[in-house]
Amino acid sequence: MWSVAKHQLENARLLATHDQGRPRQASLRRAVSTAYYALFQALCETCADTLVGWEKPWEAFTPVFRALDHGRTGNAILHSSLATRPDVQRLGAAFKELQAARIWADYNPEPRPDFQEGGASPPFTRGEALKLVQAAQEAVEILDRLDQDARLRLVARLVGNTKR
Amino acid sequence: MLKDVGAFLLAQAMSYSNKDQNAEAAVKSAVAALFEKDAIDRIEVRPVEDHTGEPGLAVTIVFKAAPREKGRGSLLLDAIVAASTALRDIDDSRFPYVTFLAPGYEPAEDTRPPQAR
Repeated sequence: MWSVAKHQLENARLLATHDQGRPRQASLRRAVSTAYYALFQALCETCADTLVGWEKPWEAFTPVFRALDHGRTGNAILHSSLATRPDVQRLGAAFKELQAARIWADYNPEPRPDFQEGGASPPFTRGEALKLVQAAQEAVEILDRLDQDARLRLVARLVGNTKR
Repeated sequence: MLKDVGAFLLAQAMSYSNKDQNAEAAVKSAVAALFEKDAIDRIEVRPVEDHTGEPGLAVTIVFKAAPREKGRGSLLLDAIVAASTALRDIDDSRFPYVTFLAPGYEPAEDTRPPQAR
């Protein structure tokens, strides 16, 4: 696992468990957002490492690292030629779930509608944040376990701007 | 003419409603099968528009007690994949956004000013 993704997952878990007693909203929001970025950047690193390689100059590596589009990545995984594989389905599911949670965490001041609907509830629970961190961890591990052929097909789908 | 339009809209509304009912039944059955019989208090399924504007489903699973992770596989991903597969089997392409709730999940502090609470 790329050390940045690994450390982001550690940070996310730390944020989710840090507060004694009732957790701060800021801690849980950052935990959820950090878990999402652990997965997103792990995907970016996989693309750049597979197509270019860490030993190549930054001017070749960085543009591929930055080529992923947040908006289309989830569907690109779930509609790739690998989408029938259970592990890739779990990877895509994790990405979509984490992305929706991250957008709520970063931009939405309202309570999560799923939590005590109609009530004045805070956005995330500690338990939910930890479940999202766990999902991100599993997704990054799935990415690490992909063989070379699967990895190449996935990153071509993620970086290439193709329709279904 | 107006009658035709009305009939069309009614049929469409009924069809959407049937679609939602079928989705709810499929998701509830698939998710319930993952957990022990008495583990779940209730499962709520409702249609939503996600952050990209695509139709999705919000699935809230309310547990009687906090579920424990088993090994390395995420329970949350188990639930999403089971719900997605069930939806695909009825030709429903909506993504199920799943939330787990349980007693002891520790809600965050309320950050609204006191007069707004």
